[in-house]
Amino acid sequence: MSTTDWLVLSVTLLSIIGYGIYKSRGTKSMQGYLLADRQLPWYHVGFSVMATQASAITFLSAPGQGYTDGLRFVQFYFGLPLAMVVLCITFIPIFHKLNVYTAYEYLEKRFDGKTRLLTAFLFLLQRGLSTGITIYAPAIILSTILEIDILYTIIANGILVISYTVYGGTKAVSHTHLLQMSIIFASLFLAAWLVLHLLPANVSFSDALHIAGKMNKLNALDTGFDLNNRYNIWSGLIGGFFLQLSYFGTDQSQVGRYLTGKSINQSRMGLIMNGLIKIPMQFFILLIGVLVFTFYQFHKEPVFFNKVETQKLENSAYKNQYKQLETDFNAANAYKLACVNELVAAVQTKSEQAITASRTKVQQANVQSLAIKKQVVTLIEKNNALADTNDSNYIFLRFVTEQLPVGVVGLLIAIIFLAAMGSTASGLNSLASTTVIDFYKRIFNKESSDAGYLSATRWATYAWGVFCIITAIYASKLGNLIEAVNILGSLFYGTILGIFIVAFYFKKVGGNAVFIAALIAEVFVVGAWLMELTAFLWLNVIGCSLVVIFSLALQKLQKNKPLKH
Amino acid sequence: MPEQKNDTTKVSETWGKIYVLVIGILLVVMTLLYVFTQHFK
Repeated sequence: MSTTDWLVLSVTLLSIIGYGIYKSRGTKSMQGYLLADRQLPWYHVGFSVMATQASAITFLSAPGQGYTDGLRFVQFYFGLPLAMVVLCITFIPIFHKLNVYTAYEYLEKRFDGKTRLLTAFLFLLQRGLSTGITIYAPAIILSTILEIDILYTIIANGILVISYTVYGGTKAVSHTHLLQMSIIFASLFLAAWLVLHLLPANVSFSDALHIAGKMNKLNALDTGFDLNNRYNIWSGLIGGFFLQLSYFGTDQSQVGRYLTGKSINQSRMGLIMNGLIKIPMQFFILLIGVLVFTFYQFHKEPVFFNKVETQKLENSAYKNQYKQLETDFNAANAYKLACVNELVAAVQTKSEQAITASRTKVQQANVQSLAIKKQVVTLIEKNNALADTNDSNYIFLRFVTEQLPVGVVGLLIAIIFLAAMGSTASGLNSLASTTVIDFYKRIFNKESSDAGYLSATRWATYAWGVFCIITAIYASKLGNLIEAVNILGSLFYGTILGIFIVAFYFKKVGGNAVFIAALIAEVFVVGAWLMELTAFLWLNVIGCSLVVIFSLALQKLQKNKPLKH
Repeated sequence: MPEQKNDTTKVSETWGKIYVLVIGILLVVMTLLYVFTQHFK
């Protein structure tokens, strides 16, 4: 990266942190530190909720996913607006009315202490590990691109986040979120505009879309029903609805964001804003990936986007084999370019016969290129068994660093850091609030002063920050930990949502019934996962439904008296 | 008191309309995505 890019990167990051610290100065109470005094307007709530969900991986791998897999991932978010409506109707009014700091506090009011502690413990376990991964995942990619040791990118990201989160709490987190999302949106528009300008002069935006469409990259909607197909309209609407409802309704990293709203209506408007913007935003990010794909139809495409791994190959015993594959790939690409130009001419003349003929040629050329890419991946794996062969994470960054002008590169690297910081800050803030409110205050120190709890929360934030940095460093030694943490989240979200659904909608069910039901449902969910019965998204539906069914059955067997709300 | 009750009813009616609008927008967006997919296929 050039000096200008480093300057842009540093100034952007430091300005945002400075802004967060400045806006949160004078925070002296628990209410102020954990809930920003419940004084934030709806757009703050909306941007904060969005920045929490959008991690660095969203901006790194989503364009890569658009490049390799097209637009189909957008269907994953179809359930989101529906989940927002349910949250606005049920969750927000209850949380506001009871004046809770964490979602789990409500469970003790509704059921009992053990149900609250079980749910809060599951949250800490899952969120603690996944926040560590939130730091690790972009750090490994940034270290590759910036050519510096991963330890430094992990520590730099961790320290930056801890600094303003410990100091300013939720207020700092929310104010930085607003600025982060504004910069992220502006940078993405700039990136899209630049990609379009890098296309050949005779290829318009419409031509680019037609070319991508003819190669099945504009597959935004799939109406077929298949339980093992991860992204179609049904998995998005049903599975996505349950996943988003459990994430936004029961994960403290999100609940803590919308509890900062000035009123019930301000919190509701923030969530509705999230529900309406998220699908177009995700569509747009994926579309950038599709445009990058179109760009590489006309320009020399790297055989593998992660340069570090190809450099290792060049210095290994497989050097000659790799060179041969690279030559074959370049020849295949030259042939593909000729076919793509034929396709462009066909699209512009609107001749269906010519379009069909040239499309078949391009698709065949793509199959040939992909086959060579697979052989390169096999070589990389032979050379280094621990190599990162998931190349889609590197597509967008390679494009940015090699094709975009000086200054813009620094800005786009900054948005990766900003996105990582946004979700990490919310994670740390929610881990600290749950630790202090649901465990420290509930069990160990019931009579401390407000200042005492505030100090404990700052220390808890700091401790979780250090824990997450250590997790991130440890994760770099274990290649498959990211997958393990993702599985962990999918395994528990459905059960936790089921507990909340019973709490809200089945007033006759008591604490013992829901507690035992949750344990049984969890065993079933883990069993379904071990036996690989279905795709991940459906585990949320299974877990939630089983908690509800078992709770009702157990309550009937126990004949307990209904608990008060 | 009756006035307060009327205000509460009005607020929930407004929010009811907003929820219907959100679901309507989702349907429109899905339809547009379907048309988009088919058009460039």
